[in-house]
Amino acid sequence: MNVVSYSFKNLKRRKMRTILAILGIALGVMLITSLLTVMDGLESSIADSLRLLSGNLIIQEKGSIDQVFSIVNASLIETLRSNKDIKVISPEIYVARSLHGDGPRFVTLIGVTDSYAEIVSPEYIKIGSYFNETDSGKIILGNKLAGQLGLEVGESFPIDSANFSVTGIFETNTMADAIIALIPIEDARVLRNLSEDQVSIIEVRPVDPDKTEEIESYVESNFEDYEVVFPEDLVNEATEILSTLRNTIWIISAIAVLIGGIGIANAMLMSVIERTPEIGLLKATGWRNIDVSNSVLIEGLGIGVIGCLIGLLLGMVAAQAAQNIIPALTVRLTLTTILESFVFGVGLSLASGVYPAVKASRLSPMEAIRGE
Amino acid sequence: MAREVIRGENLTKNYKLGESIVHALRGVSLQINANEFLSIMGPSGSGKTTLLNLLGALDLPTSGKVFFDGVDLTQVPERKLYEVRRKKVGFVFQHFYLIPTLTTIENVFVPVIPIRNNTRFKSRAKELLSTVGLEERMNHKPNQLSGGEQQRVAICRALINNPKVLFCDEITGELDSATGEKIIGLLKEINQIEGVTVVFVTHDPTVSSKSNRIITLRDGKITSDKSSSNP
Repeated sequence: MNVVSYSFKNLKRRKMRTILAILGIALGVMLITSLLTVMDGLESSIADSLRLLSGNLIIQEKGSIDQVFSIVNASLIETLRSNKDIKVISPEIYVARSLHGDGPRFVTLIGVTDSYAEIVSPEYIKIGSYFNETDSGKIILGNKLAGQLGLEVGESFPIDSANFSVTGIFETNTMADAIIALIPIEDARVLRNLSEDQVSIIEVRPVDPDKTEEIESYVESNFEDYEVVFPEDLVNEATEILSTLRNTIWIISAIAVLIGGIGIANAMLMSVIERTPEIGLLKATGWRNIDVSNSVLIEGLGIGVIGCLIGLLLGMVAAQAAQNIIPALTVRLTLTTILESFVFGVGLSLASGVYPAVKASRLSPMEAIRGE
Repeated sequence: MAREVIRGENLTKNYKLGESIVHALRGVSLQINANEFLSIMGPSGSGKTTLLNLLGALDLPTSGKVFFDGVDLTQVPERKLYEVRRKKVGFVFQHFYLIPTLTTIENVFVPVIPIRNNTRFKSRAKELLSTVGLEERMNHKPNQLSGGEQQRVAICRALINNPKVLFCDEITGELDSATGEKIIGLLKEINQIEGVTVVFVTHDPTVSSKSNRIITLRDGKITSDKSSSNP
């Protein structure tokens, strides 16, 4: 028998108190783990989006808050063709719809032409293939969306009054997999109720990535109703928001774990007070101050380690549950998150044990035995 | 000539009790020799437990000196006193202070828990428990033992580190007289077999009559110090 096994046996004395202290720290760690897991998922999804879209420019109606609300005159396409800096021009029509699978799924249907395959590589289509722009009633779904709607390539389903058959399923590892579907542009025009000379946006790819600024100034100086948006800017903006969110998450989680830590400190302090005569006996039988404080610290550490492990497990389950409820959410558990949550939780538990440990070690054997 | 183990010189101990000062000991001097079986008698508040605590390095005197094996304990830093408690003395108290989560043998093991490679004490613990007749109860928890059995466990615990002196503070106080007598008999046996000096505090003349020497305290002073060859 050593100090560690003695301390662990002490934890069994007041089981409910120990369980509550463990639960306190576990909930804090669960909060950190689940939120950081979701954050890491979002960040990695955004990084993947950047890889998918970087190098392109989006020309949209000035001031439109989303591409779904933008309307651009299609005559701009012909004008852009004369610009030698532009390699690919992809007019697109965005339609917001709610599709029915197990429940309503809000999706963005993007009506595209054949040139879209040069904007987003066909290699992302894992099953099936792109349709031709002249086809009608064809659809390509993100793999998560297809999963939720229970659809496979070759199957068809209605949107409004038209029937669409699935020609392909794409996988980009971004949010798009859960919320985007591609359809031929003319079908989208009908659904969005736009006239022949209207599209939502025009996505362009420059001949040379260094030419993006020239294209931007060309568009913005010649067409005052339109603006150029860089996917990178959107991504950077999102990354910035996420970074602020990450800091906020840390603050909230730190408070939660701190409350758990106070729970441990309280449990340990109560335990030390209750065991005052016993601590007196330990010292009377030759335990050093450091032996006594170590035994109390080990109890705190034990609560911390068990609480952190449970918290990590609950955090992973919670993050997975969140992903099941919100399919667009990508969760990503990293070793850094596990280590950060664990070290933070255990560190704080250890710190919470310091005061009770010092208090216990400083008791005079004789006074402690008398219960003073 | 008998070998001295402990010597107290002009010991005083004052406590603060609220605003007033309690003079628990008022100049006590005594010498305890190896292998003595000694009792300290006296009414409540006479300073018996205070004297025991000073002699056993649980506390330091307000003035005076305590020599243990020739070492002046008043000159040993407080944080080093554990060495005396760990290696040279054993304490048994009126309330047994057994740890409820530990088994009998684990309770006997308590003083040596912080010592590295303490498995060597296992055979000693078993030997002690069988000496006091508890070999069948090694894996019982304290709440499964009678008062007398619990006190025997506490005695084994005090002896695990082979102390030179065993200090017992009113150890029959919570036991019925028959069990108390058995416990004192056991101490006597330990005194003779193990060669341990035994110093016990009691206010019960029947119990003290079993000792070879009776020191009587009153109001913090020794009023008599009698040796008897036949307990």
